[in-house]
This record gives sequence, structure tokens and C-alpha cells, in this order.
Amino acid sequence: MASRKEYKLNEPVDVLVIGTGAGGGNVIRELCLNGVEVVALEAGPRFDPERDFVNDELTMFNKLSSTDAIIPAGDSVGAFPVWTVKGVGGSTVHWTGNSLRAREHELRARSVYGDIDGASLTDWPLTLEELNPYYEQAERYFGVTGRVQPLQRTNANVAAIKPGADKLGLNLRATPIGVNAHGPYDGRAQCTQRGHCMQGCSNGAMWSTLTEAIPKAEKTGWLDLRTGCQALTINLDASGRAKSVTYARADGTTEEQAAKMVVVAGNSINTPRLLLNSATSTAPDGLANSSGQVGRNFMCHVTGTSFALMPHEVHAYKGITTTGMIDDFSGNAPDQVGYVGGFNFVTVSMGMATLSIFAQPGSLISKPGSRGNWGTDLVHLMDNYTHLAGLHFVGEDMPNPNNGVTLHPTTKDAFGMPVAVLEYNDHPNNASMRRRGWAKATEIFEAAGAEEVIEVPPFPDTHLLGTCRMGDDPATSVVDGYGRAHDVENLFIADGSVFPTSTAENPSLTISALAIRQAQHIMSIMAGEED
Amino acid sequence: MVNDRESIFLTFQALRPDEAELFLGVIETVLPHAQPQLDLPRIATALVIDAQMVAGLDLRALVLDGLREVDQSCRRAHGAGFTSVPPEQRVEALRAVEDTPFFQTLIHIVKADFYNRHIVWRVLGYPDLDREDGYLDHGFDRLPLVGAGTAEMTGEASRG
Repeated sequence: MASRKEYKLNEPVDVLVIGTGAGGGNVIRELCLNGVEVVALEAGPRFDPERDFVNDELTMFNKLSSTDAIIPAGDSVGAFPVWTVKGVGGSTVHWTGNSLRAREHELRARSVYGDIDGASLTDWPLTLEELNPYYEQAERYFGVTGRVQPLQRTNANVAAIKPGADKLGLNLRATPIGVNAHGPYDGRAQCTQRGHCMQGCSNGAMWSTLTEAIPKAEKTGWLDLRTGCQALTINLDASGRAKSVTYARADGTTEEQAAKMVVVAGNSINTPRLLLNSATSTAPDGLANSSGQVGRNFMCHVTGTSFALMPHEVHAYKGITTTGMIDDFSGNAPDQVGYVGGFNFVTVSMGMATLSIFAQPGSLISKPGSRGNWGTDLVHLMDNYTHLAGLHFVGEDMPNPNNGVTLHPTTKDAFGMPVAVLEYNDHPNNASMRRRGWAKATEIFEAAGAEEVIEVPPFPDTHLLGTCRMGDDPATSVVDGYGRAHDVENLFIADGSVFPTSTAENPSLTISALAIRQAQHIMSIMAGEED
Repeated sequence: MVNDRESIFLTFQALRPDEAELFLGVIETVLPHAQPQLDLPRIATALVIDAQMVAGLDLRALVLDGLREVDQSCRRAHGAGFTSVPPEQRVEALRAVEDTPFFQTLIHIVKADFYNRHIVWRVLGYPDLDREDGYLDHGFDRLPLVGAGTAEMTGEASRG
């Protein structure tokens, strides 16, 4: 490995990237592989998968999860509103490996779905055809099964559910995942099918920027990765270009790194938080916010889970957690189902502690007034742990301009940065989709012979989307189709915040494809090939 | 079974023995698993929370106030404290405080600790430490009932 690069604070680095998750990590890799100088700021620590990741969901939850204060608002934000990782790799360390491309109709949501009350639907400023070459590149990095590696053998959970799916004519099949299911790939080890791998894969079989993009970038010698560094403001020069980023180190001291270009990839909460905190006299409503869209249209996904008590042992914890999927409900058929957009099912299991809490979450992590289970109900569930099969659905959320991120006027974090207020209100379309998701799961389970089905409410959100939507019109969007800010020509955004609509697919692959595309665009600009 | 309950209660530090007895009685009602191997982990969970309460004064106040309310409601309704009434009356007393911050906080931390113990995993059928090498060669892709090599996964799985 090349020695760690150290750039000087006052000498503008080619590109400064804030965040090292799916967006930031892919940009960093692409730039460094092409000889671009990069300083990367990561607010969290760097975990060592072999040393730090254990097969224990709750321990990993406590170890990995961002506990930065977020103040919830709205009628649908739980007391613990989001579930993300603060550390090198970001939430690619906490994911299922599901690597699904967005669907064509989802990228034209406004044109296909029409005008939906209370939803600020819009079309994406790029087509699936334009995005596909970048999907292919991302899939090669991930090692996606069914694309660049053969589809994986699915697990006992899938075997338990499949008879039900078959009876109903549904296609339960292997999920395309970024996991080395068959052998080593791209320097990463083979999956051992140990399960419970959503919170840290110890041998790198599941793709993450922690184990793929960042190490590759470091090997080039062009990356200066600074952990424990939280960006506070992006600073402009007199011409309105980004000139530097001020950030706090863990000890509270601040530094300012000069840069020729800045890429923000802090996620859909911290990216708008940073832009809003970078307000100046010339941008009083926040950086890159002449449209007033920074912080607006926060989306997650419409989710829900069902567990079935089967008459036989299942041991669903064995193997890759979401190794099977059903996409028969992913199409847009509002006349038949009463809502627009669709959802995908994936098979799912949980560790015991996680199941005991999330099967019926109480008010500490869910909605005010919600009630955790205990006593004989709890014991009945847990005594049957080995007999449970699980399905989880992920569907398209409706964008709402009033759902989003603002800065709290008085509450600040340890570095004096205002804490984010996250408002989220459920859309009626979501409620309809969620009801159908649970109902279909019950049908499938009952057809498979389930004795009992338990509906589990949504978990704290990991798929954070929107708040800096992309579009062609600077009056209605924050960034263009490359993630470049309309207002600040050398400022880019590379995370899920640029999604104008949520799609129904897990977002890591799409964030990565967009980031690869953005990095190539940045290099074209640097080469003088584009403005 | 742990027989010397009095010595167990004297092991608590944030709670006095009578408070510890009440606390453990509440936890046993929250987690009424019948398997005798789960008696000890229930006590361990109570002791872990007790240790949190040594320095966590807010938690201690929340728990103590809640325990007193539960105990007093039993005395009002049945003329005896929580630890002296039968299981169904214990459940009734806890149902009455089910929506309080005390009870929701308590069951959250109790479940998080108890169900994250290796012995609990083992008793309920999750092989944990025996399969740290994964299930690639241990039947991850088949149901125990229909596949070969089922015995390895079925031995200790209990079912309520």
C-alpha cells in the first residue's frame, strides 16, 4: 500500500469529498484511480472488520450506529428516526447487499403516476438507458450475483416460504446481491453464510466502500483520508465558488482545507444540514439553495416486515439475510391496487435481541404511544425463534416538500453545529401500499402453511433519500443530473439526497452508479472537456 | 435453579434487597420462560441493569418509582405486595403500568440484554458460537425437515 498522502490545508486539493459511504466512497475511488488528489473527511472512525465485527446484531448496532442527535417531528417519525453508520464506509457497512437497478417507470414517476395530491413527484433528469452503463460498473465493483457472479444458493428461509409463493404463482428467487457467494472476488473473501450480516461483514464478502473503494483509493497514493473530522461549513470565495471546507476534529479543534472542487456525501440528513449551515450574506437561506429545495422532500421507503410461525423448524438466521426476493408487486398498477408505485419483497431474519425489540417496538424506538411486547406473548415468539420465517417489503415513498430537514434554532452539537430537525409525515399512498404489503405477506405465509403471522411495523429508516433533489431546472432542484449544484459550479452532491423520487429499490447501487457517473464528469471538467 | 435467593438479592448494589426482590420478580414476569436454564440469565440481566443504576441516577429513580407503583397497586388490589401475589395478579399489575415510560424503558433494556446472551441463544435454538465459521457447509440452504444432516440443528431447539 502506498504511504498515506497528506495534503496541506492551505494548498487547494483537487477534490475534497465529505463522507465515505456509497456516494463518497465511489467518487473517491474513481478519482484516485485516475490520479486525482483527494482529501476525504469522515466524521466517524475507521472500523477493522476482522477485529471489530462480530456475529451479534445488537453489539454491532451499538458499535456502528450513528447516535448523533436528530430531533424528530411530524406524525410518522419515531423516537429513533434513522439507523445509519457513522464511520468509514458509511451505511455500506450496514446493508443487506441488495443490488437492484431502479425501474424505468420509477425514473419517470411524474409522467407515469401523474399528479398525486400531497406528493411533489417529478421525473429524474436522466433515463435508465443513460444510467445503465454506470450500473454495470457499480455491479462489477460490488460483484453482484446474477450480473457478474452467478446467483447464489438461497437459504432455509427461502425454502420455507417458496411453497407458498409457488402456490400463488409468485416468483420467489435469488436476490441480486453484492456478496461473494461462490468464492473470492476482487480481493474479497467468499461468504461463509454466517447470517446476521446486515451490520458488518467480517470478511469483506459483502461489498462495502470500507473494504473495496477506500482501500483501492489508498493504494493509489492519492487519497488523504481524515477520520473523526466533521464538516461544519463549505466556504465560498468572492466569485461564489467553493474554496474550502471548515471541519472539526474529534478534540474540538477546527481546520480549514482548501479545495478546487467539493463533493458532499453526508447522507440525506447531514448533507442539507451542512448546506444550510453554510449560509452566507449572499446565500442567506443556505448554500446552493436559491431554489429553496435544500432540505425538502425527504423520503425513506415504504417498509414493513412479517414473520410467520411455521409448523417446522426453519432456522432462518442461516445464510445471507435477504437472499430471496419477490418482485411481482413492483409494477405500477394503481387501478388494480389503489396506489401508485410498487414494492419488492425480500426474505429476512433477525438476531434474537433485535427480534425481541423490533417484533413489537415500544416507544423508545418507535412511535409515541407504541407498546413493546412482554410476558407470554414475548415468550411465545422467542421460544419459537427457530420456527420463524420472515418477509420484508421495500416500496416507493412519495416525496412531500414539507417532509425534510431544517436546522434547530437553538440546539447544537458538541462542535456548535445546529442539530437537524427531521420532519416526516406519511402519505396516504404509503399507507395503502403498506397494508397491501402485509396482506400479501400473510397470503404467502398462509399458503406455505404458516400457523401464525406477525406483522412488524417499519424499523428506523436506513434508506435516507431526497432533500437535495436533482433536476434540470435550477428553480425547482438543487443539483443537475450529475449532482452538480446549480448555484455553485464546483460543488457536487453524491449521496441519496439527490434522488428526486425514491424508487422502490434499495438505494446503494443507484447511489454508486450516480457517483461513478459524477466522478467521470468531474474528471471531464478538470480535463477541460466540459464546462 | 438458583436456590439461595436471599444471597442473590444481596448481590445487587443500586437496589436494596427488598427492592432487588421486587425488581427480579418484575423481570421474571416480563420474561416468563419456563426453561430452568434461563433462570440464571434473568438474574444476570437484573444485575446488569442494577449496575447501570449505580451511576445512572435517572434510571434508578425511574425504576424505583415504577416498582413502588406496581407494588402499591398490588397491595391496594390484593392486600399483598407484588412478590407475594400469584402470577396472574403480577401480570395484571404490570398491565396497569404498561404504557408508562418506566415500563416501556424497562422492557426495552431487559429484552436487549437478556436476548443477547449466549446461553439464551443456545437454549432457544440458535447455535451462535458453534457456527462462527458460518453455515456454508452446515445446511444453510435447506430446511431441517427435508434436507440431510438435520440433527445438528435440532437438538436443543425448544418451542413454546
